[in-house]
Amino acid sequence: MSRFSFFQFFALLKKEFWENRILMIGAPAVLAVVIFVVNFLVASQLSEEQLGTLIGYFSSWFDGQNPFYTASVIILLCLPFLVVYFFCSVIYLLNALYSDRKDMSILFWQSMPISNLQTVISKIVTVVVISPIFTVAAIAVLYGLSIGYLTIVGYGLSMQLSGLAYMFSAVAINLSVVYFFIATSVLWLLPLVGWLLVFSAFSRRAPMLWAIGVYFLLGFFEGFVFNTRFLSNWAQTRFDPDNFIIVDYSGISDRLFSYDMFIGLVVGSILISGSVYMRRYAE
Amino acid sequence: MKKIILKNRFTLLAAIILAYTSLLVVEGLVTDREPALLRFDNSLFELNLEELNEISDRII
Repeated sequence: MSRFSFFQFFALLKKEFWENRILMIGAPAVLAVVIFVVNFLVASQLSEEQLGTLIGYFSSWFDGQNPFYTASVIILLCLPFLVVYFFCSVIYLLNALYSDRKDMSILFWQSMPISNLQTVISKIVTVVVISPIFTVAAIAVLYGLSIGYLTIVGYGLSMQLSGLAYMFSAVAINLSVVYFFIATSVLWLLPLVGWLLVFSAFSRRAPMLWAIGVYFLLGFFEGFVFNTRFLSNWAQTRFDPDNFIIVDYSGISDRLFSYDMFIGLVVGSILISGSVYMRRYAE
Repeated sequence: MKKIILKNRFTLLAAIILAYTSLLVVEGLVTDREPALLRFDNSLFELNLEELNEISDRII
């Protein structure tokens, strides 16, 4: 990749960030604020003794524990962020190739020395690499504020807080696992990414309706005419919670180097290639 | 062939869907893929929704 191509691609990523910063930063930030405020309100309702008992319980639970083990337990606390990330990504991908056709800015972008392939790849890199950074950052701020609050209150109550240092280590490991969890999940769901991009590039209005409607129609047609369930089996396997949830590093490597990941990447690549070709019909 | 596929956006969409479904059907036939969503195993209990369907069939 030449220096010019690199800066060109970097500029595309910056464009994606500026155009979608509400989805990338706003959504996880608002969620983090809501969770912190709710927790703070709940904590403020507790008496000093109850708060001390709670901090003591946290501290003793983490104290001396392997941070890799506790990190895999506290990943459940990130579940709301992962759900919000999923829905924000779906909205982003559906609008990725649709909004610039809607506001006709595609005519400007196609006059620039940027290929359709570069444009589509920049959208995928945004979802796999760039966007999870902001989600993890929001979780990090939330964890930091929570641990800071517990430390200040615990210090005020003259408590033994060595367990909170272990909690800090567990949080640091947890954040890296969450980042790789999101990145590998998007790769795992690359067929879904490709499917959404195809209909984002295809439809003139309501891309979500097209994307969902066509899949259901295909599934119905397959079941009604051929009496088989290949499409629904495929979709169910992709969204199977056993395949989906990762709590430690071994889960990430197991997912990355598997046959299901490979076939998902192949199917996703076909659909993404289709969306690149589809983008030429910009009228 | 390329001209026919790229004739308009509908022919291209039909070609993409055809390629997608063909690959899934072939892969499904080769691997005999079945959904794992119906099985929910963990250390505490085992829930198999397929068995529940069998029970309801017997009742009916």
